[in-house]
Amino acid sequence: MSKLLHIIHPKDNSTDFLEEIHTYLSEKYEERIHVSRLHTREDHNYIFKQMRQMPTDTLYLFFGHGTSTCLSGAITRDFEYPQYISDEQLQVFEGKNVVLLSCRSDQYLQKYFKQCNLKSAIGFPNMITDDIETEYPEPESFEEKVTSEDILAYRKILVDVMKYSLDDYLKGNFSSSQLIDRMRLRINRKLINFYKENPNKGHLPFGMMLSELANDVSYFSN
Amino acid sequence: MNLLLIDNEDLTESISDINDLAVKKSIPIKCYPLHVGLPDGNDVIDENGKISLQLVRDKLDRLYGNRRFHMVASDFKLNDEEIDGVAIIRQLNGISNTRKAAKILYSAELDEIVQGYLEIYKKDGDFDRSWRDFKALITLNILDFVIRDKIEECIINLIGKNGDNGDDYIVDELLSHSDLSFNPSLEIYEGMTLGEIADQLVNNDSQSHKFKRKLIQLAVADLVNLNNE
Repeated sequence: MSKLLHIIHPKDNSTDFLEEIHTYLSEKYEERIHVSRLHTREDHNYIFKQMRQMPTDTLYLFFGHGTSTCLSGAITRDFEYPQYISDEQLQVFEGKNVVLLSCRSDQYLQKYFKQCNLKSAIGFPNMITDDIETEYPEPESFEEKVTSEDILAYRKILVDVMKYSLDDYLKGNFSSSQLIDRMRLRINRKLINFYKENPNKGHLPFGMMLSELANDVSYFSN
Repeated sequence: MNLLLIDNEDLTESISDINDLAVKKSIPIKCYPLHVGLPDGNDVIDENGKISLQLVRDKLDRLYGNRRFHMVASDFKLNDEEIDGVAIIRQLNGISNTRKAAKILYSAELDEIVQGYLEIYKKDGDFDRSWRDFKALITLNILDFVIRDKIEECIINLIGKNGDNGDDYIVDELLSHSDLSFNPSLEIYEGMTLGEIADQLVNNDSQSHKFKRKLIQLAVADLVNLNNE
């Protein structure tokens, strides 16, 4: 049976760059990709209520901001929903396979994955994808400042890693575990290429961002 | 595959036989003799006419320096009242270049040695002493104890059966470029030379497993063909 994807992507200018992932996949696998762009409170509530009834053989992907205790909803001129799914509300994905492409979802899953009885999940560490995030330098080990060019390059890598790995997932009928292996492989490749292109300069912030991503992207399964 | 052969008598014929068998089975092997005990290893005999473990260690360092050995085969009886193959292997287990090597003992008098162990129990009823001798073979990780006539064949069979140890390849490659260091793609053991990292692996450092896993992940990521980047 062919794999299906359902992407939940709250509207937010700072995460719109992730649209390229669903555009690419929808063009290749139109009938197997469902995208829910959430703009209004009604959009959010509809998905939240319907999720429990949604099929368990689909891979659900959440694209948006997040913290170690929540997934954020849309942020537009007219509407803000900073804590869309928080704490044990993660149970909305009970029995499902999910990918939470949001900051510190690895920590959120660490706390609530078992309790909320998800089938499998992929979580991410902190990711610097916006200039505003460089005002609060993290981690402290970064000796040089992350530049706007670094952030643009990092966004492109996130998009490429996700869209091509999900392409492999759909084409090869992969498991979630194989999906994260493929994602990590692509991140490692980007890391190697970066230091080949920037030899003998020691640690660079962009390289550290990629190292953290490769080391901390996490897989959970029940 | 580096093989260290230890005996008190000339090893030329054994090395020739091992090389012939290895060629037949396409096993790459280099044999290194270490003569210990009279008559051919008289340079490790002290002023009391006995084998000195310190002189054995010095001789090993002098002849082979930092060379790593993958297998050690030692004669059990070295023509000495106190030092035998077990004592030699016990010493080699404390040296980094031989610690991880597979160990084999051999003797022309294998039957008599086993009988001797049993006699201690039969005659004196000293189970602890008898068992201690048997147990030493286990605790020292001795892979096999064979009759002298079969040692060449046994070595080749064990190498064929056990295959290559992936760790050996990694350590050997690191040692080949021991002055270099990795770029920051590989953060584990950051700042160490490849030679220093090899030491960490040989000594089973707690990070060594993580290092090997990351090294392989990066190598695969670098070399694999991807349909899409």
